[in-house]
Amino acid sequence: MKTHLNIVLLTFLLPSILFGGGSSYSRYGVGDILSFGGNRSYALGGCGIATLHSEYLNQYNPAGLSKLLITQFSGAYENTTISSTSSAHGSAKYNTFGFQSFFIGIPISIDNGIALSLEYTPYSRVAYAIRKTTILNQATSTNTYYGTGGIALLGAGLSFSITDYISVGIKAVNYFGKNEQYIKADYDTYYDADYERSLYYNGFGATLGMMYENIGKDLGISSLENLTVGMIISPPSRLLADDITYYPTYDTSITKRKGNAYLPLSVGFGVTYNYKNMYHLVSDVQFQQWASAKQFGATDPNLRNALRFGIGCERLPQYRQPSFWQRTAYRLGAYYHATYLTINGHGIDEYGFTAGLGLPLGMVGKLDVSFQYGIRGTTSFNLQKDTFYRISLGLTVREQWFLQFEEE
Amino acid sequence: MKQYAVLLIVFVILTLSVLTSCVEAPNSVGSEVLPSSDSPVLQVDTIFATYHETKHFFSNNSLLNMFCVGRYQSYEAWGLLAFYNFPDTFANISVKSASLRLKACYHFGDSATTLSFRAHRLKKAWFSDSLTLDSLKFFPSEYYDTSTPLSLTFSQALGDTDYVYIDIPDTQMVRLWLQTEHDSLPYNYGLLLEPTNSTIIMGFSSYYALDTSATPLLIVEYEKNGIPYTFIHQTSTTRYLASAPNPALANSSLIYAQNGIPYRTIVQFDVSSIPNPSIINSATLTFTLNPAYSHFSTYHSDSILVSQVNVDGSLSFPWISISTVTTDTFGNRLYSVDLRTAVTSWVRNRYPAHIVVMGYGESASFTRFAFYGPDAPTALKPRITIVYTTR
Repeated sequence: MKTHLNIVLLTFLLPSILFGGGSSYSRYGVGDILSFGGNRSYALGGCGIATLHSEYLNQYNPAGLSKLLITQFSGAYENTTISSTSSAHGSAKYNTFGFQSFFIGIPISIDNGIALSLEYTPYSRVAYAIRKTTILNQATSTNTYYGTGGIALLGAGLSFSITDYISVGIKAVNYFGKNEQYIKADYDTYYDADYERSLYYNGFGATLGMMYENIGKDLGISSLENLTVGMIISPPSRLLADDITYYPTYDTSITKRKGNAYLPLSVGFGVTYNYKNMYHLVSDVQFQQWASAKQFGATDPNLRNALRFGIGCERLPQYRQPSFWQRTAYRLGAYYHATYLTINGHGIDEYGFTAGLGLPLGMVGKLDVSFQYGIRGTTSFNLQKDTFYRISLGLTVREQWFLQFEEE
Repeated sequence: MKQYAVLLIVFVILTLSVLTSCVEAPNSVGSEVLPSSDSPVLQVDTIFATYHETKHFFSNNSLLNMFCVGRYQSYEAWGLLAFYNFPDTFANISVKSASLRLKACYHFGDSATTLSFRAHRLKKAWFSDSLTLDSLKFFPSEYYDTSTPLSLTFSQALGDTDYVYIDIPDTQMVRLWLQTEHDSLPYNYGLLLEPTNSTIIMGFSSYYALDTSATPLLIVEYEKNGIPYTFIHQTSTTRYLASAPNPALANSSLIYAQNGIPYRTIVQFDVSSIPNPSIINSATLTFTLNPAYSHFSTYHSDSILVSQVNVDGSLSFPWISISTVTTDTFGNRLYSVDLRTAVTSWVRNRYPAHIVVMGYGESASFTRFAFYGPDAPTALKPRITIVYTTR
């Protein structure tokens, strides 16, 4: 049994390998927000607020663990290829290969829907590398801009079933991380100039979740019997922030300031419809109030409120069937995301399509292979368009922890 | 079995993802998306000197490769010379004759004229003391024997590389030098050479001259137990004390670096127009020479040095920069110094924006540099051209 956990650890607890470069959009805010609700939701257009399942770990909604029957460990890695294009400078391709999440769900009381979760998940990522030659005051300067880092979260959650169909959950989260910027001006006739800026974040937050399963049964509406609704809310989180700028070459001056940075209010709603126990239709909408989020006492004019809408469809695995491919889950999805960025006076929008498979590994667990294709931004208005292809591999294994057996 | 096949597929996909991942060097795509606040801004500013003061500074030249004697115009230099570290074999000797051999290596003034000096017996240590010519003149009997003059005198015209042998008639004094065990007090403080001419200052090679054949020699003919011997000794120490009026008395608006004495000038600047923190990419200090008040001599080094001065006027030499010399389109000689490190420390408020200007090799000549000061026309003022980067 413990070999299953070892497999997950060996395969997925590898250090993230972040190759140089990425989208310039990650320069803003806290970086690219990585929305990961679990291996299954990744292929369902990123939906999962209202998905209840005994086989899958719901990383969006802590109430979604109330149906967990067995301890599960889940890890995921993602490979992203981005092709960035601008009208002025053509296109460039970047690749990142990074750790997505590690999640543990432990059922404590199946009858009461009590389950405990622990997770480590990247929340945002900064990765860009730009070089441009320009003329400054009659001197030729080759300017290089690097950005790296991100914020991650450590979370601990708890679910509880109030009734047979209503579950609630809470997750406490510690956000921490560092974003770094490095800027160098290499002059042809003068000594160069370079800056290193590091932004450190540390703070706590929470997510509250609720699910109402088979809502039609309680309401007496037969057409809604197989409908589940879910809701999550994350209040604003205050992070302690340190902003340190360092002048490395020829000088060791450091300027520092301390303050607060806020992750905004986030609200999400989701619905899932179970069709004849063969198909799940899912849809989510999430809202984040970034326009009023402050960092060091000021809002960022490049941030706006974000809205994400997704839909998905899953052909459920037929576990009683002998065929491997009949026991496989098939998933499709799509999403539209008005991201939290507004640059050069224009909001940056993203849309994409998702697909994936949930491959059975017998009693061991599942392997989820997911694929995303999306487009963000535009080449108009002096902006850039990112076309990305993502492959995610998620492994879920099961372990029998804390199960009680009746004595004969 | 299929489970392990699936895991194998996972491993292969992961490995391929790593191996085939592309890395593209930084390029310009996305540069227009970056905020303008990220872009470095290069600016150029010129600041001018706000204050200057020429002062006399103490300089112990005992480790220099030459020492000077003579007088020229308002300059004068007195030489000090002592031989020491004699072997302990001169008990019961009789000194028959003694002479001093010196090699000329420098002159300041009229080269065709005669150098004249007379010698005194020094009676106080001077090797590391902050002795000045003024204090020597004010308290002569404290430093040398004024009651018993020596017979040693010199008067001769010399070329710049001539060897000269000077008789020391005062053989009793020489015998006491030789018989001083372990150079103990009070017999061996050497000679003070007082100039008696007025048209030239000569420089003679010291013990630290690069050419070891040019160092001063003491040549002694003596007898011991009736047997004649010749003893030649090289180990010596020298120094010279020089004085001249502060050149600022002639024209206080100028900035001076007077070698030999020396006089140096403290110059102050105001860098408040440069934002902190800025990255200083270039800072060049430029002085314009005023040839009418400058005085160059043979063998002079046509360079100045610039270093940091503390608020209290003390020198700490955290950095020192040497000038380069160019000529502008109007024929003015410009002395430029790289002050990038200094200006960086000023902008960061680590040091005050005060510098001291002095001659390069200031003990090895009597060259005088005179530069236009803060009151001069803008094109001639001392200035620092600063190129800096902000965001």
